[in-house]
Amino acid sequence: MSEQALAKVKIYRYNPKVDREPYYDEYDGIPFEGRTVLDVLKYVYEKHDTSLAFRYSCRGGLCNVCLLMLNGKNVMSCKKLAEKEMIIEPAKNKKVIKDLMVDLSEKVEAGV
Amino acid sequence: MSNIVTQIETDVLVVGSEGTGARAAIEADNYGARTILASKGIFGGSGVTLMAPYSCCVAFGHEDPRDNPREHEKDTIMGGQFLGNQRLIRVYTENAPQRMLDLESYGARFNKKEDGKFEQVLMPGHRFPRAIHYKFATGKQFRKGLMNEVGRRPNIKVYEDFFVLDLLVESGKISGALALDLRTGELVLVKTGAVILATGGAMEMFYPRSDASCDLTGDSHAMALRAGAQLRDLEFMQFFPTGMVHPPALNGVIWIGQLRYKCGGLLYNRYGERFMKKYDPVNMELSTRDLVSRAMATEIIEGRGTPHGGVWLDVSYLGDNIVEAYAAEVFPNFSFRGYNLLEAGVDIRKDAIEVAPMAHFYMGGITINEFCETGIEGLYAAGEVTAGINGANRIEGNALSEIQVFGAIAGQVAAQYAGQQAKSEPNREQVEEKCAALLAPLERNEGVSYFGLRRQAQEIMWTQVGLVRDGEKLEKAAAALTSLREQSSRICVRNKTRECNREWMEALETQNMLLLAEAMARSALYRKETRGAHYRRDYPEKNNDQWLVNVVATLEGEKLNINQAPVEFTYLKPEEV
Repeated sequence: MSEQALAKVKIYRYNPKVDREPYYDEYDGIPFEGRTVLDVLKYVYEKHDTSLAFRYSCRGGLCNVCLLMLNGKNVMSCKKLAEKEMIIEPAKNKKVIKDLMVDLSEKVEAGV
Repeated sequence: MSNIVTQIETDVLVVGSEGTGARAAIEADNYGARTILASKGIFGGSGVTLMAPYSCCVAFGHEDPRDNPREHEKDTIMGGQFLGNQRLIRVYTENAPQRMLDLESYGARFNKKEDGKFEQVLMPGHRFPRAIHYKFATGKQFRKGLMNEVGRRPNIKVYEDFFVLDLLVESGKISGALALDLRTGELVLVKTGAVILATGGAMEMFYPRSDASCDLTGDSHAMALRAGAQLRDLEFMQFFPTGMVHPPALNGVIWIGQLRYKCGGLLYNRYGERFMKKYDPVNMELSTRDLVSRAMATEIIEGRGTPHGGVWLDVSYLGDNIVEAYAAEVFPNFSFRGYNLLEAGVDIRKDAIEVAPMAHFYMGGITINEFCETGIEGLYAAGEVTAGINGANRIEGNALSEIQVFGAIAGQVAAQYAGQQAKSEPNREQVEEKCAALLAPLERNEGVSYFGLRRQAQEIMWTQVGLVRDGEKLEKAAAALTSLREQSSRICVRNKTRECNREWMEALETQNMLLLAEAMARSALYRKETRGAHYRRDYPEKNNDQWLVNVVATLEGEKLNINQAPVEFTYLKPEEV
């Protein structure tokens, strides 16, 4: 059996209550083949850091709740396949509540 | 110091914001109640209403004028194998047409014919064509209509990321509820005269063998039990036969199931044996949903499954061009709802895929009467969280219409009740005691992690309380779940930050899930026959002499009591059909 390829992941972290500014956590050696970006987040959450805040609900590509930005583009993390190098950030133009959890009802002007 | 930072006051608190809850809030508002519509996640993006692809059964009789609510009633009673509450079923079928017109007036669309009548389709279990639908995205229309209508009503306050955790009962009457504001991590006291539980099923008990959203962890079932309400028919969980189990990216994808019944898909176990010949040698893979599910589960549980816990579903024996032509028709580019099989490494032209049954709909739930009353004053329940319409098995298309009927009834009755009552004041001692229990996992510095408890429970549910049951296994499962529930009182959450603490939320969900899982296992153990979704290998026959009863569950202290209640054959007796 061939060795399983592993991904390098950089995840945006920010708790506006505590942190002066956002920062990134980096993880190496994350299984990603045949997995979605959401699967990767759940893996990081469970194996590395349970304080990671992120959302999901239907796991079926419908509800839009797991929206986030992967390598600069908004995607639904429950259906976007994970990649070998990933920068995971909150969805574009949404107010951050904590980490990847955003206020989905509120749109923020671009650039803020 | 008090653990409660925030207090809010309302007339009606609706727990669960989707198909049932939103409809309840609209009706409560129609009757002048100040209403809170609470969602553990996001309004319009939680639960399962949105995910419903197709059928919503209503006896309009547009396609066949012989159809009417009484015929729909009969099909529903028979589909539920006579365990349904016939009074509820009559209320349901009689009110369904008007409730669907309400929904249309809120902005939901349905496929119509040229004369303006509904397009109605015949579904299994129904004798007349009565499924209305909008393309293959009917649930989305429910969301659209209900969100529009709630948005038009300023007196409905929507609370998102608001996890309602426990009910406050004062001398048999609701006085309020406790919730966790997930964004701030504060516990909130909601003073309210009436609570409507509308959080749907509890399929997460079987995850990863579930095709539902992650929200359905049995929170309301557990709250109701703790408040002294009764649950029933918990032994009946409906499974969808063929959902993918591998790769993880495609777990729970069920549309692939049509390869079996429309494209000649064959089912094999790990030894390459077409195992259906042991279960239904005549119909083989085209046997009924419940038989196919049961056969697949048997193969998997008895160790003849695939590497990732499924069985093989194969269309690769067909020419590539046949498979391609079929795919082009129903999932162009091997892609559906944004899930691309080829990109995920699955080529059905060459390889078989791994599939297993997925928990899909919970027939069991909170006992209610035709006013959505639970027996506790001020506490109401509606929709999939309740039992009574579907008995031992739900026929297709009944879920979407049921939630509109009982959502509306609950909203009206709760609003009227709240309007007539002097609010009782929550007992401070009770509040502080419950808050302390909710905070305990966060404040504890050592203890068990919820991950293991949750995963063990889900594995037990699938292997021992799933599709294939027997007394010995159920005994063991119930004992194991009792032990997990005991351990769950010592859960320690590692992340101590209050804001957006997923670990704390999931720990509390796990406590709820474990209580319901045990109640389900004990109910399945109690029913010594096979009926509907409940299959006992040790009692493989239906037994109408002894088991035309509902199995009911209540909580006394920490102990679950399982008993039976007679079924009233108000309108139709088993011997009449």
